[in-house]
Amino acid sequence: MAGSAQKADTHTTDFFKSDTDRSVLLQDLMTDNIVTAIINLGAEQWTTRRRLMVIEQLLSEHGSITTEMIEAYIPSPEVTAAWEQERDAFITRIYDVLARRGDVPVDAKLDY
Amino acid sequence: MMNRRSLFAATAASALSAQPVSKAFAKAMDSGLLLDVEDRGSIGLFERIGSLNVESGLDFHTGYRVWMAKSLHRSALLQAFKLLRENGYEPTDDMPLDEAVALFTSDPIIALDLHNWERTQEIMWREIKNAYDRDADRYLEELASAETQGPGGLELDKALDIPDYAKYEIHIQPGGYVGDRFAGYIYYHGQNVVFPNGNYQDNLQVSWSRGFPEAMKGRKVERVLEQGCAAGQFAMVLKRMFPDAEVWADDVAGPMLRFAHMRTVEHKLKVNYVQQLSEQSQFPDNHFDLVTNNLLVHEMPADKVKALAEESFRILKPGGVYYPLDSYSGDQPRGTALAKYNAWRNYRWNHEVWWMEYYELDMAQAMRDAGFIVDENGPAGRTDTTRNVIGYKPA
Repeated sequence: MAGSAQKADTHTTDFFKSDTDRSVLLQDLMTDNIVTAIINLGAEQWTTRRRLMVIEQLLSEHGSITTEMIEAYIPSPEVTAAWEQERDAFITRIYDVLARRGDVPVDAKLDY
Repeated sequence: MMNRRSLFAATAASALSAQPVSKAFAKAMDSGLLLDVEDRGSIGLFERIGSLNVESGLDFHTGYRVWMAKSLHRSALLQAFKLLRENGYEPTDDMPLDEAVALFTSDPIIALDLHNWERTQEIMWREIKNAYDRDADRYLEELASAETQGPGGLELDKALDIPDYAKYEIHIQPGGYVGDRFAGYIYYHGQNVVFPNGNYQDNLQVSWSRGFPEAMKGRKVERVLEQGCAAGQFAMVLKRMFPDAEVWADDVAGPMLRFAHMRTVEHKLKVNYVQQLSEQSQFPDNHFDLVTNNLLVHEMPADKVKALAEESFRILKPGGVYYPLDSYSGDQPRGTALAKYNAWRNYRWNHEVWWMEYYELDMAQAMRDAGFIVDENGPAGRTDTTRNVIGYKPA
């Protein structure tokens, strides 16, 4: 029987750490962090929403549910596809504005 | 300030608590069975991650990347074309790398495209890693229980001197392939965010294997090697494609091989995994009918890619086939300012530290120099190309 020594051996080695955690990819650090926070908020909101969809689905199928049932629930391919559509629409509603290409500065003269 | 080239102690140090094994582990080992930790079941080939919340967070990032491809990245591309024209260039023109980087990174939409790509990837890796770290003992036992199981085998080499070039956090994956005990799990689940629309059924590896029937048509396929096999998904596809062949797969990274072997055992496929340097293998001369690799060569310095071609030539039988599949092994775009910027983006911020060497590499010439008869119009493997370079060892 394998013992704790085998369990403990993870076959890892030292590595060179990347500097991504110190990176500033937008115009300044705070803007970078705020946009990242907005992405995190979306993920949190979607996670709650998806859990709610699981609960609703289980309730409609079983009447009563447990936490274990929620965790173990596997949506059907049809439900999966519907949720993916809902996810994509959810993301588009919130984030499509980030793709807006503007080029008229605040002090631009009216050009009619 | 931390020097990024400073070696970080791998998580092994904190993982080495000599805890007693669980009853489930003891029972599995006594009965010679795999301890399969699968709390939330599988869907087809895909083993679900252990928490609905983590799964949903990853699902969000998969969807976010889909949105990026459709909307943000498209806007960034339009901005790039606009910038090029404003500066007197056509989209197909080339320019020096530093000029391309300065031009494109100055644009807010292109910068946001890079930012979102980077941050979603960071968040995704962190969430997966945390999920496995939280339940580390059980997953370590799962890996340990698989080590002696078959079909197939796992040869780990604790004495292997892992070269520096393989010790980077490629794809900004925490610990890279060699430094985190759960690197295989992390990479496996991360692919569902990194690759468009997920990779739940190993669909990428399946689709990129499309060239093998033509490449091996009329040839005996008795022994196959995948070099740099990572999480083992391509090796599993190869075994399914060539069920009567002896399939081998190697990698430098122990944590990846342990995961690959475990998953292959779960799926009852016979693949032999070996920890070694692919460019300096322990295989005998004239041993394989087919040597392939998938997404490997861009992770190696150019001189190692050349050594890899020479090693492949040595271990192939006369008449054997060398079929490397990667980002520039076909007609994927190179030689424009935008392609150069994208290569730099991958190099600098996806921490693909050898990418620029790969961008400049003439793969076909490297294979010719190794002795292969080279066809640059071989069958396409990856779906982003219509052809792929292929090498034949003279019979």
